Amino acid sequence: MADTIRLKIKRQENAESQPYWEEFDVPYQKNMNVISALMEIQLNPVNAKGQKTTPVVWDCSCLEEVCGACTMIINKKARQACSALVDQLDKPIVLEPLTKFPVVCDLMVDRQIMFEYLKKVKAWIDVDGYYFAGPGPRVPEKVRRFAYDLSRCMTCGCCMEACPNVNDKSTFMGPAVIAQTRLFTLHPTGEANKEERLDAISGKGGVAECGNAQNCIQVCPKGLPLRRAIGEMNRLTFSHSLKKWLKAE
Amino acid sequence: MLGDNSYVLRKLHSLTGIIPLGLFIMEHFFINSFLLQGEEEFEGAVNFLHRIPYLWVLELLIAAAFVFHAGYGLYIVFTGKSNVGRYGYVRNWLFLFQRITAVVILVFLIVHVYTLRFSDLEITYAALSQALSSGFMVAILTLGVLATVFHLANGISTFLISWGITIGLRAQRFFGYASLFVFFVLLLVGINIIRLFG
Amino acid sequence: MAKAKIIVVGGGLAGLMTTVKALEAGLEVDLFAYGPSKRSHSACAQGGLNAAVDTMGEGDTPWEHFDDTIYGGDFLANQTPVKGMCETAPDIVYLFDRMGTMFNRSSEGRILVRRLGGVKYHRTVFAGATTGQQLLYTLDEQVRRWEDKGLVNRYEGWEFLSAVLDENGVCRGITAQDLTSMEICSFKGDAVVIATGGPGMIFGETTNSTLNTGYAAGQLYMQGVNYANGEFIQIHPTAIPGADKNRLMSESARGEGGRIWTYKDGKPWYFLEEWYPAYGNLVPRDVATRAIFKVCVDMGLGVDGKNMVYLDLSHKDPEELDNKLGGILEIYEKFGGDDPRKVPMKIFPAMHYSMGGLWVDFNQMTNVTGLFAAGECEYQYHGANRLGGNGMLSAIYGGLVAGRTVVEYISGQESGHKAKSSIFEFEVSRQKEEFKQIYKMEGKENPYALQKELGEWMTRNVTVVRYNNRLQETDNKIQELMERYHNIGLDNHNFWCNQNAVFIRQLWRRLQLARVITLGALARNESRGAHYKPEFPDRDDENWLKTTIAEYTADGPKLSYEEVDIQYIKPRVRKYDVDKEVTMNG
Repeated sequence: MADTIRLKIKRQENAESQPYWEEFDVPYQKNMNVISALMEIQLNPVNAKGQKTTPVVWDCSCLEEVCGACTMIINKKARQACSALVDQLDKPIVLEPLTKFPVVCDLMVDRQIMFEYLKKVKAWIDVDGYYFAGPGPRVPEKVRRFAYDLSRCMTCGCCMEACPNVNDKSTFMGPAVIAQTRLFTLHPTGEANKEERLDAISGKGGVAECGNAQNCIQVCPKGLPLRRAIGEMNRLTFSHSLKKWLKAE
Repeated sequence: MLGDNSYVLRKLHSLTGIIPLGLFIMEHFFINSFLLQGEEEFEGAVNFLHRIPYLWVLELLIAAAFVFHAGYGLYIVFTGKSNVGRYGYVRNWLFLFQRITAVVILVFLIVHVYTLRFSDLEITYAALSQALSSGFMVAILTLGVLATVFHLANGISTFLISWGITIGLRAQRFFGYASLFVFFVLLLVGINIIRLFG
Repeated sequence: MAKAKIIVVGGGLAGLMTTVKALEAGLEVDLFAYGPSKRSHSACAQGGLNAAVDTMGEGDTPWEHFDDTIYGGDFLANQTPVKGMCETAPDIVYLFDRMGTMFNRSSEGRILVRRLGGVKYHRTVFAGATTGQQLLYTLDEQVRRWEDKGLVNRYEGWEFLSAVLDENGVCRGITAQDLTSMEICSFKGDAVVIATGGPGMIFGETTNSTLNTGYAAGQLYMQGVNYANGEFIQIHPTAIPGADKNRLMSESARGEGGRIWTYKDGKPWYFLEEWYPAYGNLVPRDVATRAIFKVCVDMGLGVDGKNMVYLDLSHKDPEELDNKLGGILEIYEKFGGDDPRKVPMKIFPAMHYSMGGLWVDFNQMTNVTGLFAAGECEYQYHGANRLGGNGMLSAIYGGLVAGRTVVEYISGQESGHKAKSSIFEFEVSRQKEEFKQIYKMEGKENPYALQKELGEWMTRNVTVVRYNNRLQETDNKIQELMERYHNIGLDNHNFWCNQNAVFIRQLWRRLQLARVITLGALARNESRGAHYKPEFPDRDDENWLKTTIAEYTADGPKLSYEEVDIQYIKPRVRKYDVDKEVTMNG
């Protein structure tokens, strides 16, 4: 008989219902990842006790760790299921939905709040319009590299999941939005309305609520320069707030 | 109150931990260390302190800073949810210890300040030595010193991050080790004081 | 009077470009997508965006870009829209530059360009090796800006179900389903723009995302929208084979100096460089794919005797590689286990892109009035083969054109708000009925197993090399799968977040499109671009310089053909062993 892999999955029918655990044995293939293990359950939705059950619901899209959709807790750590290779994981593999976001169904959660935060800090460039008006501002390659590294954030939620200061008792918006605020204060055009962004990120839920646990730096799957982003936002928000207070009429 | 002012409150919280509270602890350890020079020198230093002009203003300031730092700190402790079980990284443990020591210090200081400042105990070597004759009291005091020293040393390193002074890995690591050094130095000084009273 | 409103289906590059253009023109937009835009398949595009910005002073021009595109597409693309695209490309780059896309820069802080396949100039602007992600995020940010003003409604986590057509066959809106609550509703719109991407899932394991289901295109085809050039499917030469998907290893790896080789007689054999001295490793994708296929399948010279060859970057400077290709090297390292900065990568061709798609006119409108299409789901810009770096360009340009033409269309039309509500009610009930029928499916077949079978057949017989007998067998197989479809059993009867019922509904449309692709290929007895038949190894302009149009009938696709617009560049022999200029003279 072929080898099988044991999956232990925390399931939940909808946002209101009680979570429960269900175990599955799926056939092992070389180089398989957690996604292909979950796909095996679709092919044969029978749990480890041999009972027929509903296939597990999860979110995915690109399967190459660039879209952020399939983020879940795998063996206690938040990460993408596509890049979680079965050979490198302890068995049984324990899958849980992210805990800092409302569960939609099984392993699927609603991360809309992250996009709402991006609105708060106005994470965009205020261009005049979408017509053709010649090249944008020149950007030194060195600045570009830092900006590019920040702009690779997939809004997957790993940083928020791992942050001890992001939870239902706190207002902290988490590391991702701080990094995006840094990104848009870095761009030459974006810098023009940096005040609004800095106001937002030094307000409630902003960078001052960071507790320096620095888990985000460890768990970010894209290795965003979060240390530098948070550090620089600490500096920028302070000088901004001080100047604002000194200049206020 | 916590709404729009939260940035100022956070910054004040961080600042009061260093000035005046951190400085006060340094001073406290310094004065107590006069014991090394003998009982009389110690009592002289204590008497000198008591003769400082406007002492009550200083005391009031420190008390106010402490009340604020502790009060807002408790709120911060309450809004955190430690997860070292899942994410056992060094800074995450430090995050947890900072909050545990905060609570330990609060309890310890209430007892400490009450017994030494607001009771009719006279601050002489003999009286203090008498108070510290029980092993239980020594243990309590040692725990208090340990918590305080950790909280201050780690607080210095996180203060530097929160104020945007240390930004890169190298600087944060350097001041991480520097605060470890401060921790050990203050711990030795503190334990030495307890030993000298004992 | 209420503001005019359009419906955009799809949150990738094309859909978002249309959205911001329409918003700027003062329209309101309802934007439907499977999920947040940042999860769209556009994020997977790696190599870059072609535009003759000529920042390296090589004398590149939009005309050269146009000529390379037409030549690369083996003269099957209509030349007028392609010319428009190539002429607009530099402006598109500058627009994104202004919107903050972090393109790689030169030492003067200007936009850097690199080379991709089928081209002799450095013409591809890029942002690391995640250019699609960066362009997508840029547009997503702009849409969020309008969302903040309340002018765009994002329906994320919804599936477009069908177009709502009135008694004159004019598109007046859509029906859609909330994939969480499973509620089915209708939405009115003065025009509808479909930008739902490619149908990759038809081929099972592809470089596509799982949300490239092919549903929308398949459904619209069944509602009478013509499907053009379906048989032209691009197989990307360099992908990393995987259990769940084949991950793309961008052409930019070769653009930055990557070399393809395998062992022959115990020594490295750089067969592309040997066979195509003029373009070397940077031949177009169809050419590279056939070469790798020949080496592995016909000559049996794949690495370790398997279907794999090396893509080698290990001779390049690791720091430069990280700066220009970081994103894709990370993918190889994470999924393949080896460090491509040190050892050659093992790759093999995989289904990547559909040149074919919904038929549209030069204004991006389908044959259904009021229904537009842009991006990979339409057929217009690539002919028989797409050049690397033209995919994102065509998505953005198509979106731009659609954004402009819907405005013109609406100003010349009576408002859709006047459309009778009965047509919406009827369509909603039709969709509800089909969904209800799926819940009643109690047969023995597993839909995922049927999907797997479909993918395997399509990949085996309708990709790199095509034989008429095998195409016929494949069509028979698809029809068999259509029979077995009715014997599916549904494993999940929840009325909340039921991915299984949705999957079954999608599968039916995939089967329809699979027939279009297969039968289009069966009919086309020539070899052109990505479509290669050993029985008919040459291009046959006399009989086949024409666009395939598939029309839905209950008995299967009805094929007809349409003339190709070749008014600017006369068809000439396409070969990459010599420079392009040689083919022009003789």
